[in-house]
Amino acid sequence: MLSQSDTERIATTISEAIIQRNLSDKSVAQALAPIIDDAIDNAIRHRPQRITRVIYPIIGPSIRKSVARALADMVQNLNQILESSLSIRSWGWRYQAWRAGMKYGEYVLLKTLDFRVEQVLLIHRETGILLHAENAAGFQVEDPELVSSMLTAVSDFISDSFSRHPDSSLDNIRVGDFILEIETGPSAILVAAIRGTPSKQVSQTLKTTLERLHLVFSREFDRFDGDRTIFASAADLMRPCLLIKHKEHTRPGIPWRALTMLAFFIGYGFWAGYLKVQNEIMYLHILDALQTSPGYVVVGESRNMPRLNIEVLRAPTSEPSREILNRLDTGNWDVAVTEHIAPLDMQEYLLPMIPSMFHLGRDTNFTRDGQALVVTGSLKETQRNNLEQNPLLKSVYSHIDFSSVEVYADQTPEEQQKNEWRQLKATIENIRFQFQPNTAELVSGEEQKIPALVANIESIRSLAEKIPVYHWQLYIVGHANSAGTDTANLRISEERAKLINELLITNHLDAELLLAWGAGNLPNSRLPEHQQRMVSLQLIHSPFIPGTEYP
Amino acid sequence: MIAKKICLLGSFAVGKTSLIRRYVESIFSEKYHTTIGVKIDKKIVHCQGQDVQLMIWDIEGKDEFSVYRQSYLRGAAGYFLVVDGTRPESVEVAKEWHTLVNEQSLSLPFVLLVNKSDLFYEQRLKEENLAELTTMGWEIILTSAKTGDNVDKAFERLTTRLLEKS
Repeated sequence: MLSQSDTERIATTISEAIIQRNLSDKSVAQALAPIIDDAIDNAIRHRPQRITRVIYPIIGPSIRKSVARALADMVQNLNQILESSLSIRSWGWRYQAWRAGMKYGEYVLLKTLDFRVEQVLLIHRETGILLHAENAAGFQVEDPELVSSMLTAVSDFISDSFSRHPDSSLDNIRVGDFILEIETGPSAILVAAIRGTPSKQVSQTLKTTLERLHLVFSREFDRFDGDRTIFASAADLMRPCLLIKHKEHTRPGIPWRALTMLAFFIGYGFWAGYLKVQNEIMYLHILDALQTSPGYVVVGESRNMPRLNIEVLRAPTSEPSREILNRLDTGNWDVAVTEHIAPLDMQEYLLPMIPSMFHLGRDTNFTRDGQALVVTGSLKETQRNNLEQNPLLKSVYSHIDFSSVEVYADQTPEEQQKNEWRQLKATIENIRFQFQPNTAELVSGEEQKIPALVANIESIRSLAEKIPVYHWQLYIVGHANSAGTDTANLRISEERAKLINELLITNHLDAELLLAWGAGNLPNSRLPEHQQRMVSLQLIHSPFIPGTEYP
Repeated sequence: MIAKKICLLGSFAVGKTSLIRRYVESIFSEKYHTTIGVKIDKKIVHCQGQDVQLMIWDIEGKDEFSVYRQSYLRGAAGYFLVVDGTRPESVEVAKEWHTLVNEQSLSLPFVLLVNKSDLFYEQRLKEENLAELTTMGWEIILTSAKTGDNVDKAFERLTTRLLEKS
């Protein structure tokens, strides 16, 4: 028992003593902590109004935090809906919504509310030790003790690293379609492992449950020494957190809106098609009306709905186009006719213009025979076809008379003959006669080339008279290979040339058209030795047209 | 069943992770993998007639204390300070860890583990160093994660002290 003097003495020094002891170790704080806890607990129980007044400044920020959390949840839901609106999946959902006869928004909401809370963990905040776990039926438990500790470590790491506010904490972790929803209280953490997309109901339930847990176990949380037996009774409080939301199966209704839209589109398609056909019919009707009007020739037209531009050539005495159009039903077309007044009768007017229109030369002449167009002279076959099929000429003249015109192929007869000459010349000059070594004897079978050569030379002679080619001759040139002397080679090459010359004369060719001589061995010849024993042919002639180059 | 959180603290590469692996899985590997952040394991140990579940926090070994995440220590019931017998400087790191824990008003039971005792000829810790720690009231156990020597004993000893305190 302390005396009055002792009490007074301690009272004067107790503050300094506490401060001094606190500087050396923390034993004073440790000693006072349970006393203060009990004092606060007692005060809350017996004088709650006073406590309310004291903690009022703390409640404001807490409420603000709660509201901020609610807003964050709302933004998360909105995000999900927006993502659903723009993703590929959304098109599947739109189709499913149509099949189910639901509004798309309702369907998205239904999809986002589909979830299952598979496990709820109550974790001691300070130690990270799992206090109690509640599992949904059939849920595979993945070592909740380690999960709890690691979650606490991660949460601490995140809070330390990224948050500047001491009260802020990790709210959720998402892995694929799996979410850990975390509610952090002053002494404990409640974690819900959720498959799917949770609704606000989950976080609300977690909040409420955590508050109740703190209310019931506040003393046990604070004095937790590792013994978790007492927390088995938390099961009843935690079980309501195992929420599950099933899809509601609705019977597909008749998709009136979609059907109406579809009917609208089909109707619009039919209507647009009908208008297009009507416009086409009307367009042909307008053109026909102008083309069949006396003295009218339609020379051009262009259209871009509703504008229709028509260019006509008409006789001065013919009816103006506006009067014709006034009588016509032009439908939706806005018709503009550009008139070119022809000063003469159309048949007479066109007559001198036809050669230049069809790029014809002076060999082709045009005259009139009544309503018919008469063509005289000569013209190519393609030119005749162009004249015959031209719509303008067909509309102006009753018919085109080609009976007095010489129609030839696209090449002139002269050109054809010259081409034929060139081909025959090339054929003749391609012929070689091969000889045996050191003799003027043909290699076996070479004499068989003679009949074809004779026939080609006869054709050449006939063509030379037609083209005409006045001076031409076949040079028959004998050759020898490098074996032997030059004299011997010259002699044997001459013999070879003369042999061919005689064979051709024997086949009734005029000797004057043939000229044979020996060239001996050509020292720079690149032909193989055995091929150099030969006779070659060359057709020499004067130009087709005197004074021009040789062909 | 009682659950307790314990931490392993110490310099890098002193063998904290290997000790836990030896204790929990009875495995040792020569390969060194540095721990990033924290790794947590658990083991049930029977001590003083009851089962105790140890939640063992293997905390990243760094020598720059300013970057330690002190929140990892929160709620720990006790801890090991681990040093490497072949690296005297690791003792200084352990002392700094001890100071850091005390600064957080955590008067917790702890045991100093001098690891790598299997490297007999490479030991560089002097007797007087250890004697000094002993006089400071530190309990010291020589361990080898490689051979498993004293590893189980160390965990059982710390568990005993945890239970004595509570």
